[in-house]
Amino acid sequence: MERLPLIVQSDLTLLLEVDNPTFEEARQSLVGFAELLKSPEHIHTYRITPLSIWNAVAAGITPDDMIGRLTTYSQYPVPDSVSYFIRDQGRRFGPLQLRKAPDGDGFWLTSDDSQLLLQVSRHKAVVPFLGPEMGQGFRIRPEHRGLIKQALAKIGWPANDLAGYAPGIPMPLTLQDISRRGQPFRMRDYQLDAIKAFSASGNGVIVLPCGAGKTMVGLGAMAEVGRDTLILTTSVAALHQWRSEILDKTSLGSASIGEYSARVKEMRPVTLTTYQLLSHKKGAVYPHFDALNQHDWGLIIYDEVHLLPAPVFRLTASLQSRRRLGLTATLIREDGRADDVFALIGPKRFDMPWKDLEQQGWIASAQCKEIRVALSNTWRERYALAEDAERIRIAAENPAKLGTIRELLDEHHNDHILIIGQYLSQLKTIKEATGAPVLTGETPTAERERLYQAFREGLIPVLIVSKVANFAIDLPDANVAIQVSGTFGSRQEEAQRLGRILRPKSDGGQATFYSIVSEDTREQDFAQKRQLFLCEQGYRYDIAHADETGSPADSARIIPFPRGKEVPS
Amino acid sequence: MIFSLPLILQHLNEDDRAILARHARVSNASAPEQLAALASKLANPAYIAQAVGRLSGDERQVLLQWMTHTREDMLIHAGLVGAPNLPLANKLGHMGILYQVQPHTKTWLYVIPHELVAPLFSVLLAQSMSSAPMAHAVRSPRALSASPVWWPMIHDFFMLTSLTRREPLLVTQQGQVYRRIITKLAQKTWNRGNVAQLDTTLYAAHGLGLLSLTPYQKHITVSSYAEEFWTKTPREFFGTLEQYLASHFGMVLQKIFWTCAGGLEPDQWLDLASFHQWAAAQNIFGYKSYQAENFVKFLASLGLAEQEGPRWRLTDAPYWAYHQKFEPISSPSVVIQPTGEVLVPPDASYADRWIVDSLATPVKWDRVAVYHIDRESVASAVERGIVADQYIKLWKTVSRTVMPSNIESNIRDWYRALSRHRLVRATLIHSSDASESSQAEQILEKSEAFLERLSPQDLIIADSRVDAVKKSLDRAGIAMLSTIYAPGASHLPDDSSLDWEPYGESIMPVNPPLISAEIPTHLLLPTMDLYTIQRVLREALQQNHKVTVYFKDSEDTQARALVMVSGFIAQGRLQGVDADQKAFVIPVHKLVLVQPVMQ
Repeated sequence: MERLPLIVQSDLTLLLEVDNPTFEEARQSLVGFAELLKSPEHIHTYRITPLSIWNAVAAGITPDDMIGRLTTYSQYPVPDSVSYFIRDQGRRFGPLQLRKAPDGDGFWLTSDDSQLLLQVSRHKAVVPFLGPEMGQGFRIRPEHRGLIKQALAKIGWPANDLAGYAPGIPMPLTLQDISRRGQPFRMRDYQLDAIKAFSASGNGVIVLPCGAGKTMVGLGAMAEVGRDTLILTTSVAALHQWRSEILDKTSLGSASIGEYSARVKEMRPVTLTTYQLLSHKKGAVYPHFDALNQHDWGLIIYDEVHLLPAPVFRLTASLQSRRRLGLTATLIREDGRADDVFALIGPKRFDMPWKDLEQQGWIASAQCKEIRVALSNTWRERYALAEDAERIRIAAENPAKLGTIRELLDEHHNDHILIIGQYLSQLKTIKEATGAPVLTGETPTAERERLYQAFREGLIPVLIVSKVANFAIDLPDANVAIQVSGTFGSRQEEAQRLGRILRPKSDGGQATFYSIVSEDTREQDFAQKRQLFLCEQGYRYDIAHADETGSPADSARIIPFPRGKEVPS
Repeated sequence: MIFSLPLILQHLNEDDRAILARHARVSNASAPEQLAALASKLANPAYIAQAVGRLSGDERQVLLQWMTHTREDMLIHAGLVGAPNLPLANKLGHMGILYQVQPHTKTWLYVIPHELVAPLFSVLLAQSMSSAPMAHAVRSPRALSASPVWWPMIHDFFMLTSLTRREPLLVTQQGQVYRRIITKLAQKTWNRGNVAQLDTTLYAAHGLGLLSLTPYQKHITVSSYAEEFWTKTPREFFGTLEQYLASHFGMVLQKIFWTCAGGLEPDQWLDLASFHQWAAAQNIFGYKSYQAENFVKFLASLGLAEQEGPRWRLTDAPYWAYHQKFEPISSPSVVIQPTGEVLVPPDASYADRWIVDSLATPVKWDRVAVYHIDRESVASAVERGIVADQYIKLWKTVSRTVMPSNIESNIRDWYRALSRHRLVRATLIHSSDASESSQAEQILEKSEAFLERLSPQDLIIADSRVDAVKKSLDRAGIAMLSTIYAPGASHLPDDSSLDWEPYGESIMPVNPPLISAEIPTHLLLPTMDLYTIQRVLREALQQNHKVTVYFKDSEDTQARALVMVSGFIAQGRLQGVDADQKAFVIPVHKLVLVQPVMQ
C-alpha cells in the first residue's frame, strides 16, 4: 500500500512529508485549518490552534471536514485527543454573534445558547465591556466593539462579528492595464485570490513575502471596495512609494491622494500616513488619530502589520466599524502579539509560502550563505577582555569582514549588491574601502530617493544601507545582499532583509544572501537563530569560513590542545 | 527458569540437531542462519498443528495433561511422564517439541520451550474452546491491521530508558522513585499524566532488565543491557515480553490467555466470566480466577490489553504480533532537516532510534519522535570519546536523507570549539612560603601526581592522587592536614580565635582511623543493601556485639573500617560511637559492609 504523507502528532502538530506523491494534494487540504510553522527541505510542520480552527469554521470548514481531511492523508489513525480538540474548538466559533442592536443604539452580543451567554457574562475579562441585558444578550457600546471581541477571543469564545461596516464615502478607482510608466500591468492569480479572500469578509490579514506584490493586493482591495481609503505605513519613504504605485497603476490622479505626515497634512479620498504620526500623543489625546478618524473611511490598510505599534492596537480597537486590511510578509511578532492582530485587524485570510512563489517564478530563488570570519589575535584579545555589551559590537566590526566583502564584490562584479549593516561607523568604513554610497537614517529624503532611483537604474551597482532600508523600499534589481551586522536573531528582520533581494530578476537569475559573522563570538551564536529561521522557511543554507584577512579558508582555524602535560584521567 | 528454543538448539549435539532438521526439513542445521531457520520452523504454528495432528487422541490428551499439570516453567517431572509414556516422549522429541534437561547429576526433566507452548495450547485446546464459546457478544473493529513498530508501551519504555540514561531517577531510602519525579515523568508518557500506568511501566522495565539501581541504591538508571535490548526486532521484543510475563505470572496462565485472546477474530472480545468457567473446567493445575484478574489488570495497565467491564482483549500490537503480522520496519528511516531537527518516524527500527537517542537532544517523543542536533548533543558525544568523523558517520548510517551541509559545518565547528578547552580537576598544595613549596616540589618532581607549579607557593597535583602525594610527603617529613580546603579557605585560624564550643548536638563527625588495609577487593563493592545492613546492625546490637563497619568514599581505592559500639541509621546516615568512645557519622551510601565482632 502506498505510504500516506501525513503524521498527526498528539500535540496537535502535523508532519507532512514533501517527497510523497500526494504531498501537494494534502498540503492544499490542510491549508484551510492548520498554520504552517516551518517548511524545511523534507518534512513540513503545521500546527492546529484554536485560531486556525476558528478561521476555518469562519470560512465554512466544519470540524468533521477537518478530521476527515486528516484521516484521508494520515498514515496512522488520528489521535482521539486531536479529534476531540478540533470538535471542541470548532463549536466555539459561531454561537456568539455581534450584531447591530435592533433599536439602532450600538451593538448586540447575542447567542441561541443562554447558558453560554451566562458563562461569558460572568467572566471578569468580559464584564467591563458588557452593557445592560437586552433580550437574549447584552448591549455593547460602539467604542467597545473591538475590545469585547478581543476579550472574548482571549477567553476562548470568539464572537462572529456580523454588525457590518460603515459604508464610507464612494471613491471610483480602476486599475490600469498599462501603467503610467508604460509597462503592462495585470494582477497575478494569487493576488486576485488574496483580494477575493479579503473582500468576502471585509477584514483580515494577507501574508505574502516581500517581492510578491503586497502593494498590488492593497490596490486591488481599494478597487474592490471603491471607498475612501486610509493607508498606514511604516515610514515616509514607504508612504511615497505607495503614492507612486497608486499613481502608476490606478486611475487616481495626484489630486485624489493626500499625504498626512509631519511635513504636510492633506486629507484626500486616499490618504497616506505613518504609524508614528498616528500614535503621536499630546497630553491624553491622539490629535492626528482624532483628526483622521473624523473622516468616513471605507477601508483602512495596515502596511507591514507585524510592525503595528502597541498604541495603534488600542486605536484600532475603536476602528472596528471600518473595513480593515493588514498586509505583511510575516505574522511573527517579536512581542508575541499576533493574537491581537487576529482580534483587531482580523484573521489571516490568505497565505502563500515563499517557496511556492519561488517555484512558480513570482519571486527569485534564493540561496543563503553564512561566512564565519576569524578574528585576528589582537581582536580576539579585545573581544575576550571586553564587557558583554561591547563584545557584540567588536564582533560586528571585525575588520577581517572587509576582506570578505572585497572578495564577494569581486565575485559578484556583475551583480547589484546591497550591503546591509547596523553600525554607522562600520558602514562608513565599508564606504571608504569600497567607494559605494551609504544610505542611512541621516540621509535626506530627496537624496535617499535619488540613490534608490540610481540603484534601480543600475547606475550604482553597490549600495550600503543601514537598517532604515529594512522595510518598504523597492529595490527591484538587487540580487545579492551582504549582511555585515544586525540585530541578529530577530526573525522579522531576517525576513525583511531577505525580501530585499527576492523580487524576480529580469534574467531569471538566483539571488544570494550572505551573512558575515565573526567566528567563535556571540555573533555566531545569534546567527544560529537566523540559520534556523531561514532553514525553517525552506532556504538552502551553506556555511563557509574565512581567515583573519577575510580570505576563504577550508575550515575554521584549529587551535591544538596544549600538549605540555597530559590531562590526568 | 524458562527455556527458550534457540538456546536449547544451540546446546544440542550435532546428531540431535540433524534429526530435528531432517524432521523439520531444514538443511544443514549447524550454520547459525540455518539454526535460526530451524528454530523458526519448529515454532511455526502450522508445523506444530501438523505435528500434533499426527498424534492419536489419547496422546494429545496426555500431552495437554502434562502441560496443564506441570510446573510454570514447563519443566515436566519424569514421574509425570512415566514409563508407559516414554514412546510419546520420544515421538515429541523427534518432532522438536519436547527436550530433556539435566539440572543436577542424577535428575532428568522434560521441557517444552516457551515459544511452542502457545501454539500447542492453541491446537490442543481448540476443540474444547470451540465447544465453550468465550467471545463476548459485543464486537468492535480494530484501528490497525498489523502490529505497529512504535506503540504506547514501547514509547513509554523508550522514554524511560532515554531519560534515565541522561538523568538517573532519584529513589527514596525505601527504594521508591520520588513521587514528584513520577508525576513529572507521567506527563511524558503516551497517555499523558497516567501515573498508575507509569508505575507499572517502571516496574516492568525493571523486570525486563532495562533499568537498574546504581551501586549505592540512590538512583535508578538505565542498565547496560538496554543497549542490547534495543537492537531487537518487534518480533524478538514480543518473545522477550512473553517470557517476562510468563516468568512473572506463570507460563500456563500467560499462554492460555494469549491463546484464547489471540485466537479470537480481530473485532471480538473475550468474555471473562466464560473464560473463568472454561479454565476451571480444564482442571488447570493451580489456576485461580483472582490470578487471572490480576494478570488482566497488569496487561491493561501496561497497554497490552483493553478491558471494558466484563470483556477483555489484547490491544492491536500484541494481537497482531500473536498472528505474526508486523508493520514493516524501515531502515534507514531517520530524517535530518537543515534546521538541525531530527525526525524519527514510527516505523524506524529500535536500533536506529537508540542510536539517534544517543547522538541528539530529545525534544519530544510522540508518534514521530523529534530530536535536535545542537551543541549539547555534540558536547555529550565529545565526552564519550566520539570524534567528529565518527559522529557524522553514525548519522549517515541511520539517516535516509543526505546530511545537510550546514548541519555538518555546525557539527564540525562545535567539535572544534568544544575540543579547545577542558576543565581539569586538580588539587593545589599551598605552602606557607616559597622555600617550603620548593622543597615539596623537589620531593614530588618525579611523581606522576605532580602536574605543574602555579605560583611560588602553590603546586598543582592530580586530584585523584591526593593520598599518594600525602604519603610521599609524609615519608619525606612533610606532614599535612587531611582536610582539603575550599579556595581561599586554607588559612588556619589563630589559637586565640578557636571556638571550643561543641558543634551542634552531642554527635560530631570524625574521620575514623584506618584499621585494616587488607580488606578483600570484593568488599570494595557495596555487598550489602541498606536493609541487610540495618538487619545485621539491629541483631548485633541487640546481642551487645560490637560491629566492624567498613566504608569508603567513591574515590577511595580501599575501604576503611571502624569498630562501632552503638549506633543507629537515620536520615540516610549511620550515627554511632566507636570503640574509643568517639562519635561518628557516616552517610549510608559510603557503607560497604557491617560485620558483628564475635566475642
